[in-house]
Amino acid sequence: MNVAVIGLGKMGLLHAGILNSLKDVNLIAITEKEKLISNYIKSSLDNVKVYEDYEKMFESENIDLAYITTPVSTHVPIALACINNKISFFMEKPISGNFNETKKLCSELKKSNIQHYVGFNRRFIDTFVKVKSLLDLKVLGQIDTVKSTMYAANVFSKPKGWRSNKKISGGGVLLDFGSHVIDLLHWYFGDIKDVSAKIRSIYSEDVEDEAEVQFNFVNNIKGSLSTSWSKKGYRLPEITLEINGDNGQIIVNEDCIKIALKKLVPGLEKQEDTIYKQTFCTGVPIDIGGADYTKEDIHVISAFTNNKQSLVNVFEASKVQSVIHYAYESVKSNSFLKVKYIE
Amino acid sequence: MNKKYSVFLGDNPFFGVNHLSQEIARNKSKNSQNFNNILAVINTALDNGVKDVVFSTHPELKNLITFLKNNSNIMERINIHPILPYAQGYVSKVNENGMMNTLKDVLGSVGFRKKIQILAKGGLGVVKNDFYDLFRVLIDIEMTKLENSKIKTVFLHDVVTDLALGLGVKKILQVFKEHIEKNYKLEVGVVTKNFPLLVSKMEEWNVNFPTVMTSFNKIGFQMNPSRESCERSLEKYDGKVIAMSVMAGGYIGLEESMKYLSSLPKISTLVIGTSSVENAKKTFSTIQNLPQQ
Repeated sequence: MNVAVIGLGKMGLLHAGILNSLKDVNLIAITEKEKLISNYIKSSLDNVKVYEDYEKMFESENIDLAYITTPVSTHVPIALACINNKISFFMEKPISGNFNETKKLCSELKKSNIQHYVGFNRRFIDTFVKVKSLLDLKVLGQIDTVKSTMYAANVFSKPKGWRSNKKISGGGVLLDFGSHVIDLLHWYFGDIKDVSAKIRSIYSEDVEDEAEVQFNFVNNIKGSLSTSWSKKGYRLPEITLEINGDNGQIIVNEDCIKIALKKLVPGLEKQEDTIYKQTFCTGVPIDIGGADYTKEDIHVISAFTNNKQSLVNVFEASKVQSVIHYAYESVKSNSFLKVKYIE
Repeated sequence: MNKKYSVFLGDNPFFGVNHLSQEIARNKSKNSQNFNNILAVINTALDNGVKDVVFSTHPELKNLITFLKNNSNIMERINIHPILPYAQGYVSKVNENGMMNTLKDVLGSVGFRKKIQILAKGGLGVVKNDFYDLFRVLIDIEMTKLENSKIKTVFLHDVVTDLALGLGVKKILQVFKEHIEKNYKLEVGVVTKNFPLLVSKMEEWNVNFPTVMTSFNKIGFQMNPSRESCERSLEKYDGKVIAMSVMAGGYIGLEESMKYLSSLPKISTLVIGTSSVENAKKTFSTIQNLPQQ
């Protein structure tokens, strides 16, 4: 299977390294404009062709699957070029900072039969996977509320890069971090009915550094999200979900699951327990930046090989875009707005 | 049969890294990252026979070294084993700020005289967009933070090692080894989360590192692709393996961990991190006093 990677920044290098070591995957080409990186690949990898322009790469190479790991503003144009060239693609999240662009991509994908994936790697972190299975077993009974946070200690002065430039990034911490959390919440609890958000810029001029979001799910669960990339003490980005039901509470993050149940139910051994990630540890063929990325790429390759559309696809990810779009809109109107998903 | 272990002190807990829980690290951080506490932990380690400290090149490292030099003679009594370069940090910065801004920031962290020396060696390559010259410059910048320290082995950071293994780029390992051996006359090692892949690539590429730091623990935590595969590669590898994550980030107890390690005759060096004097005393004295059978 022939794979190409477009954009060799942090995520592109990571995926290229993983893909190149997976069985039955041939990394045949990359597109990168930064000379330092493209020269490095040219001088180091004999079997990988290097392009500055992805359109030229699509014309010249026989590519089965393209990884789009460029800044957000270029995701949709490249994905549309993949559709035109009948090339399946994986794109890093979020799809776009522009809601109309996301609509256009969904509309074009409906007319095509290529496969598509979006990089919500948190779905491959063991603790979050385990909680999904516990919720499917209804260990908490009827869920009432979910409080979520995603914090990191990343931004404490005026940022210089593309993430703080709204034209390129499409938004701030709500789009960047919030999309991970909102994806997990969709996976766990289904569609969101309405949303209201407040955002605040502390260091960035063009985008928000903090966001507080309230939402209601279609099934009447009440939810909230607090996110910031300017929170001291968070060496790595960290998601915490506190899920409350009529049979107790589950708190989960990347490291562990804390369970407190009123009544013991099948599927669990103790009413109160802390399950650490070490409980689940299984090796991966290669670990470069975290086992979840390797598991994500194995999932993508396996879905493609078996011609089975992944659940982590553009249509699913467009729900996240919809919620974030109406969250930003609600800031202007200072009220709850109904979420209309892209059809 | 139990053997005498050589133990290295790991610095992760000093900089807020806890592989069991970041929440625990946050709760402890005020004390653990206090330089006086770090000095006390290193002193306790020394009192219990630990003479080697592993330092990753954290942004706070330079300040810590200065503090230790100004407030004790401890830097004369310990061997330093740096892990570098901090690739993830640089790639993120390049992603966010572009290459030239990143270089300006990175070069800004060293003194004027050193900056001139470094640029004289690698500056032209940076201008010519030569990745390997830049790589050497980054190593040199990080080594300046440890000037006048007793450096023993310089380790290539696991993110760089593992990316090189993934991409299949022999030259990264070669350049690192040659640069450290030729310019610093020091021993070289690599850190990896993919020990079997490293062992097979070292053989295929004919690039041999005499020391590898990698995870060995009873539950297979951070042992890829599996514990069994890592154990098989340990038998094949001729060099020295320094075992890390021996307690799987604090998930398993010391006694259980040591029992597992005693089943691996080729491992006699461990790296264990702690940020508490009490824990350092208990852990290191227990290991040093393991009964010899």
